[in-house]
Amino acid sequence: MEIFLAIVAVAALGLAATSQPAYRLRRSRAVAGLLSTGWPALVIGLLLGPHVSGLIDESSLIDATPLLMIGLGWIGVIVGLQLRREVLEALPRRIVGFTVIDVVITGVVFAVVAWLGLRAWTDGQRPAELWAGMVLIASTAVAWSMETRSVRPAGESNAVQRASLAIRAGGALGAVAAIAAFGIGAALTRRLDDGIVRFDVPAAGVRLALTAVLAIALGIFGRYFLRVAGKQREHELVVFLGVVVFAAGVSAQLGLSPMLGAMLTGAVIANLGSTDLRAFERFVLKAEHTVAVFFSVLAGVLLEPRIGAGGLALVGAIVAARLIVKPLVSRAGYTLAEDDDDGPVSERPQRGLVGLRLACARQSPIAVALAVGLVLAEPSAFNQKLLAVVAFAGLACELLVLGVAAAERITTGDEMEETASA
Amino acid sequence: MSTSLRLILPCIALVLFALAADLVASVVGPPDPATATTPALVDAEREPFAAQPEALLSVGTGFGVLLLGAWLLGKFAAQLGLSKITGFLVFGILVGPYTLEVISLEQMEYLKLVNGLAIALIALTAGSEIHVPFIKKFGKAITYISVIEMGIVMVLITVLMEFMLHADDSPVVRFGGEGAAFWVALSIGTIAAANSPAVVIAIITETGARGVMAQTGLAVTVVKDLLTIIAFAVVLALAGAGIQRAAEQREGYIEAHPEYAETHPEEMALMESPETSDAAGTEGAKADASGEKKESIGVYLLKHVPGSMGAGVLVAGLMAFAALKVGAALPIVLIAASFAITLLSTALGLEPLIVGLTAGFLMSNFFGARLAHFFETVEELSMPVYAVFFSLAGCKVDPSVVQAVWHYVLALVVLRAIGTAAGCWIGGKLGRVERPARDWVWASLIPQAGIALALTQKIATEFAHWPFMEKVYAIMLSAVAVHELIGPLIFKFALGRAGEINPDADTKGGAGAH
Repeated sequence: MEIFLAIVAVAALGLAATSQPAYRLRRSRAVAGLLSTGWPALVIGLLLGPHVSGLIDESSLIDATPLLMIGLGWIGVIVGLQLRREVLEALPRRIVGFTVIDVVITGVVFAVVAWLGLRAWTDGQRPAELWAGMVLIASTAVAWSMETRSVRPAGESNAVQRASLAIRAGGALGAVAAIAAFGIGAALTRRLDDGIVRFDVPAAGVRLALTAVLAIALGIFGRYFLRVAGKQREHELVVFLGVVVFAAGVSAQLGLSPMLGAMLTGAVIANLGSTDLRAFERFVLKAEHTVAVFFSVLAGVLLEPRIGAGGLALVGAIVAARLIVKPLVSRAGYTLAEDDDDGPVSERPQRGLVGLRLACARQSPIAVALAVGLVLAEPSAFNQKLLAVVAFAGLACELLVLGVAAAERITTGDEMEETASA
Repeated sequence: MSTSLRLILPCIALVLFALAADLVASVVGPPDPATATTPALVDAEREPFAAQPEALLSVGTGFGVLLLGAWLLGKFAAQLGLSKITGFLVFGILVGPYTLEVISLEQMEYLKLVNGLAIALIALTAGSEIHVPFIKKFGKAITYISVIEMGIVMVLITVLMEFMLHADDSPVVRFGGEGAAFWVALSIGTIAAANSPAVVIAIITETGARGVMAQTGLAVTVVKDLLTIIAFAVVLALAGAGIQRAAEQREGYIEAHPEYAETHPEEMALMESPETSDAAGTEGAKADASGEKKESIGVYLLKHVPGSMGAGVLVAGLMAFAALKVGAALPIVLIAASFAITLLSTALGLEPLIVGLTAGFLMSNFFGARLAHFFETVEELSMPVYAVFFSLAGCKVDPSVVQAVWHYVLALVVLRAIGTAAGCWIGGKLGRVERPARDWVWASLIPQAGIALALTQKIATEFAHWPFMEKVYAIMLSAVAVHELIGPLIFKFALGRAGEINPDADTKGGAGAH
């Protein structure tokens, strides 16, 4: 019965999201920003879940595990499909540099913040026990939301457009880095038969190697299956669902993040080169919104909102670190991305630049999916609290950045121009 | 490389890959709580928690193997001129818990959500295939065929089982006496009358069959499903008195033959266990025979037929409204509505198949072309859902059980086929169905699957306290398995002979671009 309520709730959300009033609401940039990152769905999941209304019982989520697996695999494959060789080669080196700067600086800073925060929260738990949590928080801090419409001014200069492009491209590359970092990092520890978490590097090597083999094999199979499917949509659906859930499933079975195997599989499929690939991509992207809504609701149901003082302190630390570190990263990134002909972006007065600089402080939608993967593998209360920490920190950053961007637009008159033109 | 090999080799590779992943996971993967040495786990805050069972972590792999493997084997079956459903079923048997064990019983439990989706989609499609003008024209024939075929099959199988239970000096007779033997035989007879609209609709969709035989066959399976559900409820209600008498006979037999207890200690131990004696005791039997039980049967029937139909009318209205409004979000609506039909029907004690059938029938007949996009979406979703649903059904088949009771099963299958053919021919003749449809419509009533399995399970639960139940259950389950396998073959063959297969339909399942 609970799973029925969950499904009906998701259906209602899906309908609401695609209804006319929702489309009208999305004309507002702030609402568009919030919707695109899935926060409203996550909040509704939280309200339906066992800790607020109790309409959906936690145990009923066991029934939904195959659906969660499909969701994680779907996201992983979508990210992996972006790693096509031609696309990567065409990507300006400046953007790659921007992403590398983000991964290195953010990774180091947030690993330290997470480590200190988790140690304080758990009263000095053993390193191996906190390792996965630390890797999760550091990985979720990498990258940012690729949505830029809500933080851009109405009238755009070339420089602002380039900065937006840098955010989108850097966010996409960062998502790859985040999934890889979490997948590899979290694999280094595992709970052994005696119930204690330990570092186990050789086993991690075996599992990661097998996942790579899986990805290559499944990628080759996937492309072959697509040819077998021909152009028939129902057959394509079988292939896509099968590849996605198989890749995510084997990764989970090996104790790895389900998204890692799926992402690698997507990357292999993208690089094998096939005329069927474009149809496959279109097919995948068509369902993106539906999967995102569904997944966000389930994530909301899974999280444990009672995180206590330790959890709240960690959320505060993450938000503060993001607001300090990310604008610095973005400044360095925009400098790399700027065009010499227009002069340095940072030296010219630009409307909407504050919002754009802060845009990198917004959390990537991948972050919640990574945390869900951890909860799926080990549904302990602590991991559910970690999911809540990631979600709350992301939501706080989102509201702060969108608030600043909206205030800036009002100050500069863009909002009024926009309303008038609408 | 031939096209068949191009389908079979990846299928084998897929299975081998899943087995290898399972093997590696058992060495370097997370510990299985079922076998781990430490039962009480704590998290980083030292709060206790339960680890995920291995079957749940590997459910994605199982789902993927079933989906892709069944699809490939279905295409291979189509290459051989068989039904894709046969391929799905065979793949399920091969990878199921009783053969290669790629899919475990625990994994099957976690995949039950797919069954709910499949039942609703099948019912919606079946309902949409029944058209009012056809019913007006062939209503009499459908009624004749349904009633006569069902009656003949029930009588034949009941008589056969009575005879076999006596001839075999079965524990049914020795333990339960004549009463128990009759009720067991009648129960098997009722289940033998059950059909599978799911298989019929899947094959009609696959072959694009259009014609009197396909439509009559589908309509008869639907009508017979209703009749079987009603008949089964009545048989169960009447069985209360039979069980009462059987229990008394059993006690009398043991008192008169004290040596029996010494020679059959296992059966005695089973009968004397608290669980068994509670179930088999006269208290339970008296309750079964009481008015309270009869009243509940009345409510049960009321819910199952008019109640489910009423719910179907409501569902049709809501779904039609949603389908006309949403546009791009139609798949979401359809999936959610399918789950809702199954889960809510189960929660309210309704019959999901009847709810879906009614909804599909009304939407197809009263909204017509305006909902064509809705039924196109149903068809698109059908392929993955059928692949998993039918391969999961195949997973339930235990070949060793079939082997142990094969002579009972063979007799049952042959006699049921004869009864079905005779009933359909007589009914068709009386209803003036033209040839070749009259000659071949019986083939649509051979397949058995979900409903027969569900009724078998129900009988097994009702008679769980009888020591002979294991064998009877094996016979019924094996017969369903055999019908599950041969049914699609026969039905597809018959559609071909009746000349109703659409030559443009995707029946070859070739290797696409190859």
